[in-house]
Amino acid sequence: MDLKKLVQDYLASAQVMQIATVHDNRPWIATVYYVADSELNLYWISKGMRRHSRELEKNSHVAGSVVVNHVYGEKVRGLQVEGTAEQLKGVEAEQGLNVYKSRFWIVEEREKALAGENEPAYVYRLKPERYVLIDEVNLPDNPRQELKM
Amino acid sequence: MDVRKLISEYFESAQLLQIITSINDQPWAATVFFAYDDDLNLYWISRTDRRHSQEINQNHNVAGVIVKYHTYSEKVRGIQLVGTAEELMGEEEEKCMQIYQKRYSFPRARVLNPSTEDENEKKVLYRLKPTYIVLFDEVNFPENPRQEFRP
Repeated sequence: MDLKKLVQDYLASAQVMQIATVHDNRPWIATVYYVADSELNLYWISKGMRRHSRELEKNSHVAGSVVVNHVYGEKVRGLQVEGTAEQLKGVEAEQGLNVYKSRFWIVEEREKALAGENEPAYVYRLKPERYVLIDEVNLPDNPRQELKM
Repeated sequence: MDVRKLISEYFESAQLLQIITSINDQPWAATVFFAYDDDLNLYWISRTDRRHSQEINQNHNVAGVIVKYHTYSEKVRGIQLVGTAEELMGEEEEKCMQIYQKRYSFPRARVLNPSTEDENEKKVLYRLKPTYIVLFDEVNFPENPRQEFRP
C-alpha cells in the first residue's frame, strides 16, 4: 500500500477538519473546511478574530484531525496530523485561495471578509510534519501508520 | 431555546469525540467514541500507551470537539468544549463504566483486560469534565449561531 496515496485519498474523501491550537498549555479546537494540495499541505479560511486564528499567530505548532463518519462497531478510519500553521499573505494568500476555490465556492459575505470588510477573514495553511493514518479497512494487520513529511 | 438541552441532544446524536491534549504548547488530536452523563461529563476508553492518554496524565487541560458529518453547503452544527480530563480508577471507574456500557454494549472485562499479556495494550476509562461549552448551531440559532454554556 502507498501510504501517501492513502492519505491523499482520505483527505479527498472528507471536507471538514478539526484544527487544534494551544496557548499556555491549554488547548483549543475549531472546525474548518479544508483543501489539500499535492504536497498534503492543508488550507482553510477563518476569521482573524477567532480564538484558533489568534492562538496560531502566537504559537504556530498545531494539530489536526480528519474524521469520516462511522459508528461504533465499524472498522475505524481516521487521520491525525501535526505541523505548523500560518496566515498567508500576498502572493501566497492568492495561491492558497485558488487552492481553496478548487474545491469550495466563496459566498459573497466571505468574499467581503477576505477583502477586509467587517470581521476580516484570511487564508491559512498547515504544513504537516507528520500524518498518522489509522485505517482498519486498508491496513487491517497494522492499522496505525505514520507518514513523516 | 434551552442551550443545555440542545447540547445534551447533540451529544445523544453523535458518537465521535475528538480530544485535544498538549505538552509544551504542542497540541495533539485523537478521536474516540464517547458516552456522556446528566452533568454533560464525557467518557471514553483508550489505550494507556496512546499519545493523548499519556499527555492527559501530564496535563489535565484538554479541549474537545463533536462534529457530525456534513458538507459545505449544509447549515453548520457542532460543539467545542474545554475542561479537564482524568483516568478513572477503582469504584469511580466501575460506576462510570456503566454509563459507557449503556451506550456501547460489550463485556467490561474484555475491553479493560484484554487477553494479551502486553501491558502496552492496557485500556482505561477516562472522563472529561467540561468547564466551557460552545454550541455552534445555524439550525436553531440562525441569527446568533455561537452559544456559550458553562456547566
